Amino acid sequence: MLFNSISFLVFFVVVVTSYYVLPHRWRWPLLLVASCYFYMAFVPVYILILAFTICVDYCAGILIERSHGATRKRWLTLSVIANLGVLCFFKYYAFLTGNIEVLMRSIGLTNYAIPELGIILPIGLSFHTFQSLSYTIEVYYGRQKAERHIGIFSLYVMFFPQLVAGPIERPENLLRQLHTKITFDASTLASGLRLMAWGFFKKIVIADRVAVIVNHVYNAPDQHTGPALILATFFFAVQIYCDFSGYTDIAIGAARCLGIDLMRNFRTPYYSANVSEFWRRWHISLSTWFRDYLYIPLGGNRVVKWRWYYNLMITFVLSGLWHGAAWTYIIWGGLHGFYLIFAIVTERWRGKIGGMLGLDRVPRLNHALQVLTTFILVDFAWIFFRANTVQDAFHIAGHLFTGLGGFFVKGGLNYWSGLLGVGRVELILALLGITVMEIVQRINLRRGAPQWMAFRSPWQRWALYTGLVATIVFFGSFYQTTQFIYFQF
Amino acid sequence: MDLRGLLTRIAAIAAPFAMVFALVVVVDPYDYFGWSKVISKDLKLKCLYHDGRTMPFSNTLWKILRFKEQPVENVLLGDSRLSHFDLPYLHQVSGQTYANMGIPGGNYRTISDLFAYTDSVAHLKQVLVQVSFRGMNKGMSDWDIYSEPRMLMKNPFLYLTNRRVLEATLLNVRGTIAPNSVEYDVLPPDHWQQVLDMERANAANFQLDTTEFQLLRNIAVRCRAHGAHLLFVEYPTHPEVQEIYAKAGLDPVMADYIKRLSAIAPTIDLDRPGLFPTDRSEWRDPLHLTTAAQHTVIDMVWGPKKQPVE
Repeated sequence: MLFNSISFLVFFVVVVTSYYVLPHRWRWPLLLVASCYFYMAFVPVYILILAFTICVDYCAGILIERSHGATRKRWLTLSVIANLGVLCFFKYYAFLTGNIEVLMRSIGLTNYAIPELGIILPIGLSFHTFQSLSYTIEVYYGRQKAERHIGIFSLYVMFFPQLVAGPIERPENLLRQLHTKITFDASTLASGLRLMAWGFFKKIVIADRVAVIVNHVYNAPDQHTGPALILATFFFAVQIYCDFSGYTDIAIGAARCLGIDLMRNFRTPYYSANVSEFWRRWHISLSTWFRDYLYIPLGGNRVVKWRWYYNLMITFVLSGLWHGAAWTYIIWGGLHGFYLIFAIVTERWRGKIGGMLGLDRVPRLNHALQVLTTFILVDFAWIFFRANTVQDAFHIAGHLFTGLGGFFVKGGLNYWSGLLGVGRVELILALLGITVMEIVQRINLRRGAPQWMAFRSPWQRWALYTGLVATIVFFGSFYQTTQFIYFQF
Repeated sequence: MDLRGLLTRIAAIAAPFAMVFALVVVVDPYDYFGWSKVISKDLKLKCLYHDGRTMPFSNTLWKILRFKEQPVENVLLGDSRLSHFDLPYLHQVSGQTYANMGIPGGNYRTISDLFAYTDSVAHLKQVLVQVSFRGMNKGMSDWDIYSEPRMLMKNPFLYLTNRRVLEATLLNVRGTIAPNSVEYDVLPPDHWQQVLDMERANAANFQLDTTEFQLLRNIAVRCRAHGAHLLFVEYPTHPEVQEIYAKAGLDPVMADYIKRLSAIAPTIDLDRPGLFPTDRSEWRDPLHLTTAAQHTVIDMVWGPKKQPVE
């Protein structure tokens, strides 16, 4: 079931109403049934994968807690193998066999063929696998008690607001709340609804609208020159942020309506002054997962330098692979790993150059330049994330600076809308939407949007909320993209 | 804030939307629900032709809704040149009832989409496709006109919230309250010249898009499989337009185009020099005949002046 559908609206109203009407002991069965229904709206049979994950990790948690020493580690290993085995089979089988076939052909074994299984990737598989894994790892480290209530544990893995695209929750946050008796609070409900509305605005008004531009250019990159490629790459940065953070806002808002607080996943990442900061502000639940369960166990930065670089690179390459079974994602992850290593290696030199240019005397300008540079680097890497093939990605990267004279053509809006394959009105609406989002984000950064709203008169608040809903309802792009980008991961 | 306060606030935000939705349902500019008779059908029909910008959408939505209500086994598919087609006269000449699915701004993609749609609703017997050489220019079929109305047809929520539907609702209200303030289907004074300029640009950059033939071939295959009779008619253009394309050296390309069409299905070429009058009073513009002059087309395809089939 998609958040941006009428069926979800009806589903959500029914679930929230029933949730507060029912006594506490009946709430978890309600949420579990609702979560099953929500998930089964995609491909019903894949609920069995979730059931398998739940059974394995439920048992593993208890067995890890009961055992000691090597046995404890053995149960954890079993849980990790079972979870990653499912993930690898469904997500990476075709990628792996495809690459083996290419390799075999290159060494002359032309008849080598591995059967295709025609598997459809279960929606949100990477998210709930990682969430479930974090539980067994936390139990292993003794930071979390094993959950004895299988219903609550199932709900921890399947909680519908964040089931298909995160945030990837940790047991210490979500499991605890699922046990807590929640009383109805109208202000919390209102706050959840506000956040959901903002998420819908980002997804339906901005992301789905700019997706048309991005698809137009990225699906035929050889038919475009620098200006279109640069603008489409910029718009993809906007699209993926609005799509994913929009989804997250809806998920956090929906959970908040049920009295449950999910972790924050984004903190205006494009305002980061370096790539390292970007990863502390973008998809926080995933980057902290990789940090806690991969980077730090590998030794993190408390090792010799070459090993530190290796740890960074392996973490980011695997993060790329987590996103998708394709070389484009691996290159994207590797590129971020390279950015971070390069930043460490050149830190002293960059400081010296900044000092020579006098940038340290104008900290605001210095910061603005750093933010701009970081955005350009991140946006450049998005090319590999979005391109349909590695060849397309290199074509785009190699043609960004061709035909730049196109930027100076006096064709007005008609020229730009023609170049980007979108109507004039749609282009204006997209730019207006981005402007509104930026204004709200600036307010949020300085004073906090809810606080700012609290100081408005009731009429102003009414006008702003009505305007927001009206924008979603009447200016939402309901006719093109509907699926969230991160659902495929 | 308590529950009552929350519900009051939600109601306060929802109220304007409820009013807008109620207005759309009451006016119902495309007779989507068919419950309300507040606005006359004549006015709704006139509003379809208010503005060239909204004509493709309005006509498509209106026509697919009417076809769903009353499926007909004979259809006319094409662009705006079918807009002022005299269906009663056609019935008189041919003895058959046709649905006019010609869409202003329509292209080969629209023709293909609307053929698939009508084919899914009715068992078609006669399919006339008004083809157009000028529409074969590369890029002319990029515009997807059909998808949005089709989605609206399936989803009433989209109908209630669609900006064009809201615009049409307000236009219908305005047309009822102040009938003289709305113009319908009025051509600007320099329209003739504008069309000629447009055709000059089209001819200068003409590149025959052969992929459109595949769309027509698909229609032919489907018609053959279901025993429907398919006919292509190349619609007439004013001699001034014919001259523009001839000067651009496109006559051989057009001859090849007709040849390719006739290999797919029987084709009548009405865009030949001397076949239609040069007198501008017979034309709305260089591409569109008046309703009266279109009788000649009907006579040439179905009636006494029947033209040879290629």
